[in-house]
Amino acid sequence: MSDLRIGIAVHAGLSDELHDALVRIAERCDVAPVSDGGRFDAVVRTAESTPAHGERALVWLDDPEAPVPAWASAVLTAPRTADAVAATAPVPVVPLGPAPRHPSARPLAPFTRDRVRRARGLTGPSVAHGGPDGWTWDGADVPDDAVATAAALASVVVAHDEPAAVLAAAWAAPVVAPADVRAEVGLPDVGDDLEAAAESLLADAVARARHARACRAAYERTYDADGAVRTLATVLGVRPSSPWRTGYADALDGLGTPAGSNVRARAHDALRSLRSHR
Amino acid sequence: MTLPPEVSTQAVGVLTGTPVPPEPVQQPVDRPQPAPAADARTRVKSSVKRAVKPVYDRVAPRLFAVVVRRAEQLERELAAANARLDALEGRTAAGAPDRVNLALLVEQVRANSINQTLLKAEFADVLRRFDELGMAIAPATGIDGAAVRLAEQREQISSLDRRLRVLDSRVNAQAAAVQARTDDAQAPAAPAPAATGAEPVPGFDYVGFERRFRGAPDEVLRIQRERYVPLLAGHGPVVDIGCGRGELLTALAEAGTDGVGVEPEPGMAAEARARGLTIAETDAVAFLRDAEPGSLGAIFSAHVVEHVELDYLLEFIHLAVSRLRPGGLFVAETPNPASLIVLGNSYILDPTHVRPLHPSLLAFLCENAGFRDVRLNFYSPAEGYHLPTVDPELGEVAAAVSTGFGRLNDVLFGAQEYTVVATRGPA
Repeated sequence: MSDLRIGIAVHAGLSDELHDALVRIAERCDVAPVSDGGRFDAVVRTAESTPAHGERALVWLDDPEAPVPAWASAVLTAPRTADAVAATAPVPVVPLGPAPRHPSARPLAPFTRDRVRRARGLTGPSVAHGGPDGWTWDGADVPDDAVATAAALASVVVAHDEPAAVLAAAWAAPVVAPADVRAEVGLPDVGDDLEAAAESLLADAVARARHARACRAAYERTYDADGAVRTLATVLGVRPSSPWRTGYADALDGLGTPAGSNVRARAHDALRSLRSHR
Repeated sequence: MTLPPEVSTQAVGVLTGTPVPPEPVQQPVDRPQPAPAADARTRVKSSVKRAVKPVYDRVAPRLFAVVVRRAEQLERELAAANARLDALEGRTAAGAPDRVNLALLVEQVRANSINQTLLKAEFADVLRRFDELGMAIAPATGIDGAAVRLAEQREQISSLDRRLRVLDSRVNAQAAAVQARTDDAQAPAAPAPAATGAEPVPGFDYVGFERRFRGAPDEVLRIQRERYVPLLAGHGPVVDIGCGRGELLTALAEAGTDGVGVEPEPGMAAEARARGLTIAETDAVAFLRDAEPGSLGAIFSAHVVEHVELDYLLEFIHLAVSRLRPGGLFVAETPNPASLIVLGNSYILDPTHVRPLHPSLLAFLCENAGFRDVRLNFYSPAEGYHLPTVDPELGEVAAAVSTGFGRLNDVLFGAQEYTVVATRGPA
């Protein structure tokens, strides 16, 4: 849960995507209708409404070509329009929408995958194929309870459908997929020859790392609601951006915790009850 | 860095199909003991150790066991608390859609409340302006009396108009009389007309004409009873202008409403008297001139007004207003010339018809004379002549044809007669 208290100033007739975004926020923050009164860190509005004096407002935009109102502190939008809105919006854009998928997945970059594979005795690069007929690992069938392992450790994942592509992207695997799957998930373009694209990524470690980061970013843009809400809290100034400036920061620094590590976020959340509200 | 369980050794074993033996438990490693030094301080320390060690060996394990047990208990309680917190967070997250829907509903109610307040303000403004309009028209009673006040003003204007027309006609008549006397004084006397030997021609047999062309008398009477007995009942005394044999007056008497007939034709008047009815053997205007003002409940005529000249009709209506009591009814049935089948057929068939009276004209004359409530009722459309209509569901052309034929039917073969029902207002 986040510290945020978000007001809702929209009512019936809103789009399904806006409703999904509000549910994502409500799962992680305190939400209440604006008419309840009280202090709100921000209020969700549509472009037609007018915020109260001194209110920090988040504007929901369905149409990427719609202008961003001058009163908006940030833009909320569906993942499918996030890139188009962000290209022209003068304020931060936070995509929010579908329910999280694979929340337990952790990003494993290609370099880390290589190390783990060596540590587990898996020799050489491995290519996993995922699709409606199941998964394979270097041509061998993968049991259903090991599919996540294949997505987490494969050098390259060739995804033939959207569920496989999302799972692989959640684990920050370098994913090559057909054009329709790429469009559905938001993955970077690799051309139509998937085998050639996989061979090309296997041969270039830097390109493979860059591609893996892009795939993970596509996943986070759509399915990482926790990350989106953390971004929102940072934009609104409720959550301090790195480096942390609270008391436990020195202790974590002494333990060598990386600056952008999730450990710092979890520690900040765990000490929420001891913190005073601004 | 802690790796997720999906990349553990066991998980990789499942992936590759290679069973993984369980990892051996690591035994604790004893720390190497430093060699003792030979100085006095060391000897004292060694002596103390030798003295304390038996006590330490006896007490420490028990203390450590208590501490370990307590630590394990705290760890279990912490795990249980974390599990409960996770469950609580899960339930909170599961209720998120309901919280959002409730917030949306509250905002919708608030918006509706605001709109309702705005509408109330607008409605209140409309009501205020309505009241101001009413006070402007009827200062004493406001909007409730505005309709009555407007009707009174309309009657006053019509009365002034009638008086002006009467004065105008008197002036014209006097001027004409003066001119005639002047012309007579100047012109020579005209020669007397020569006597002729022409044969006398019998008058128009209107009774025979009606028998042939008006329709079965019983049917005509039945229709009259259906239309007018309910309307006239309770509005006695009813004057039936051109009552004929008095069938309608008889029906009204059966309904408990008294009346008097006006019938200039002696034969018909005699038949009506034979039924026990009171009959005045004169014309309508002469009868009304002799009647007391405000003494009559209703004046009825059927197919009379199209037989008189305009001046006679104007006086008839004017006298009707005067002789009816407040709330009295003036009912006149006449052919409808707006239906061309009537104008080109049944109306011209009767040679005694003087002027066709368009419904709007007769209504205007009644309103101008001072009647308060003037309504028109239409009867007997010439459905036998109607052009066939087409089912509109057959398409746009069919719908257009059907609409056109409908209009033609209204114009050519509409209601063949109508009745004006005018009510006299309060005194």
